[in-house]
Amino acid sequence: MKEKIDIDKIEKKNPFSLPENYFEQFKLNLNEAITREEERAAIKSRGFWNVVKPQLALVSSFALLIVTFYFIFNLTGGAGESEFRSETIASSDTIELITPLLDEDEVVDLEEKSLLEITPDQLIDYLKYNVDLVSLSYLDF
Amino acid sequence: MEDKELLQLFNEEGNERYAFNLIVDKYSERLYWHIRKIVPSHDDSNDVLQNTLIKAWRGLPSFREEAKLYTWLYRIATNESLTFLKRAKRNSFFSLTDYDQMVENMLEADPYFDGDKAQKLLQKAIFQLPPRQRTVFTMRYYEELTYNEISEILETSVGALKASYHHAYQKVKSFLESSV
Repeated sequence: MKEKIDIDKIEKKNPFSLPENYFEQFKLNLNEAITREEERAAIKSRGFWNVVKPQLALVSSFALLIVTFYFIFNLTGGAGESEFRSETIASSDTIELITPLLDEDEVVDLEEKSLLEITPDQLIDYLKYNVDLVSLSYLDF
Repeated sequence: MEDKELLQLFNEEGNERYAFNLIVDKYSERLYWHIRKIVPSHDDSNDVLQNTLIKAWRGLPSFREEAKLYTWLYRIATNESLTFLKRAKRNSFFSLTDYDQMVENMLEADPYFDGDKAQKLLQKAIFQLPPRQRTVFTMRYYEELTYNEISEILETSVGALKASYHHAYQKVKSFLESSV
């Protein structure tokens, strides 16, 4: 009958061995691996910046252009809009436009004064002093 | 040289690699044997040890001495070993090979195994244990670390470690008894 193996009776020693000069060789290999890794990391970080730099410059240029256009538009936008509105009013059929707001006598008076010679600014002044805001809001431009 | 002095040297600009090599000289052997008891072959242990020390090299600049240097290195080595085993088991699942059988064959053919028949059987029994239980068993049985030291390294309570070691010991014992 074979004897049972008792864990407590097994000699407690390391049963493994190592190749000769293993740790010296390991240290050399480790240092090479670390050097390679550092070189890779350096290339990677340089490469990353090289890729990002032109894209960053492009994005910055676009942002600068947008900001510039935004300011130009905002600084000149108000004046442009009022000119546009004056011209629109002046070029439309003025009598037809303001007739619903006036009574018969005023229409005749207006026709006599040759409305076509009236400038847009004069027309605005006229409306400002003779027509109330509620009536103006009903105008169909 | 004391760990504190080694870390001071490492933090001096230009001395990093020199100090790191002193750390490697001091700890690589202990770390290798720790890994070798968890990982079934010399070649795999060599790879795990290299990964451990590369991680240590990367992590040393931010090492804040909250743990002892050797505890920290042991923790990296243990985690690397367990990650290696998990990956190996997953790969063997996909390649449809029986991992436990593969480990047994590795032990049989291991050119760096010097033990007798009983020691070979003990190794087979140890490699039947789940990886974490195997780690606890070898740290206590071979390395004779205290439960407090193991607790610091594995970040597990002493009570849980005692229970784990007890279960592992019983499994190994019954494996050996049933193998004859």
